[in-house]
Amino acid sequence: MLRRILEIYTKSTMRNRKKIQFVAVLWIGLMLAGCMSIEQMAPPVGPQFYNIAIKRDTTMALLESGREVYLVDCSRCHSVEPIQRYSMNKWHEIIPRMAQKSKLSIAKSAALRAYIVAVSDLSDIPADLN
Amino acid sequence: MEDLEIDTVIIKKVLPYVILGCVQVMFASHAHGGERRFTYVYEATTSPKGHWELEHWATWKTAKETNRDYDRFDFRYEIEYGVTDNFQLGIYLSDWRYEENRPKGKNRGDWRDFAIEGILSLRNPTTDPLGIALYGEVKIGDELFELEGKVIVQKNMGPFVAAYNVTLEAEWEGPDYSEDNGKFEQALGVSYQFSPRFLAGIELVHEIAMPDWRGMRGKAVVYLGPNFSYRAPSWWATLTPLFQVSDVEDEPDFQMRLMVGFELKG
Repeated sequence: MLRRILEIYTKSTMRNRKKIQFVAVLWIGLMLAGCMSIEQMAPPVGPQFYNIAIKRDTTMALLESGREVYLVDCSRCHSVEPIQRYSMNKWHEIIPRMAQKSKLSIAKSAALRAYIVAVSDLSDIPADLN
Repeated sequence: MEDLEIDTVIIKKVLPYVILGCVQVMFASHAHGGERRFTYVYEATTSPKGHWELEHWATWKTAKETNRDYDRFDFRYEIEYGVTDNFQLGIYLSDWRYEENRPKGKNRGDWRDFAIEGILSLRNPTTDPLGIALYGEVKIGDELFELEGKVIVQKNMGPFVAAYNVTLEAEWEGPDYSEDNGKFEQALGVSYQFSPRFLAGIELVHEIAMPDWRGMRGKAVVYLGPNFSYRAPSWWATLTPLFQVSDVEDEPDFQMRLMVGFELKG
């Protein structure tokens, strides 16, 4: 299969080769630009969350569970996005809608909300990015 | 000139799809769907437990070197259900086909089969190094029995998703199911999520038909093309036009698949 595609490329006109090269470079560029690690998009629950857990009257186990929900349940239907992309007001709209769509249990929804609130505290995400 | 003729035919044939899609959307009340990024490539994730979804598929194949008037439409209607968070069951209620330019005396449209599929997700494509799922399908029709198995591999990298399927199909058809054929297929899809509503990517399909299971002596046909996926609150749609990039004359030069999905309130 790869040999066939290479054959098509080598037999193409110069104009078509430039088109193929442009598309390939664009895709590679987008891929590199999009490559944030999971740790950057959804920070692991570590010692930095301890004080936040106390302040928010929650547990590290619940935050860890919330992170699991964010990475596993949310990614069934769409790509995982950096939590910092949205303001807390926006998250308060998104969570109930997505929880209903993905049929999250009450416990999972609560864990997800607790985790996102904790990450927002850690990252200093404002209530409204506007 | 030939390419222009094909483009004109494609536009004329695509318009009914667009109209059909719009009609389906109009009647999609009380629904919001579970989305698919690809139409020819399966993903390693499954529907959440308790989730019901209705999917409409339409596939158009056209323009063989050996028959420029070739036009075939295949339609499938599937209901999917998330049995557990890692296992999904699908029932294809009815698969039917419409083919223009059939020999005189033969119906242009006919019912083909119904089918049952199961997808078992073993590894998550986001949290594990590689997402893995197993797929099995049984298809039963008029003098037709088919078994299909796939291994699905997927990796999610931020807004990018890459999925790869390897498929083996065994088919028995004809009187007494005496015609015994196989098919090997591999498919690759890459998709980029530009926004929560819009995704685009490419899909590549490589098929080798094995008549009478005569090894890999069947002709290998390769298709390549872009794919586009749109997600609305109440429905989703994914479209993939594929162009043949190999030189197999008795296989279609062009095919296109449209999938539209709606969540059913269960």
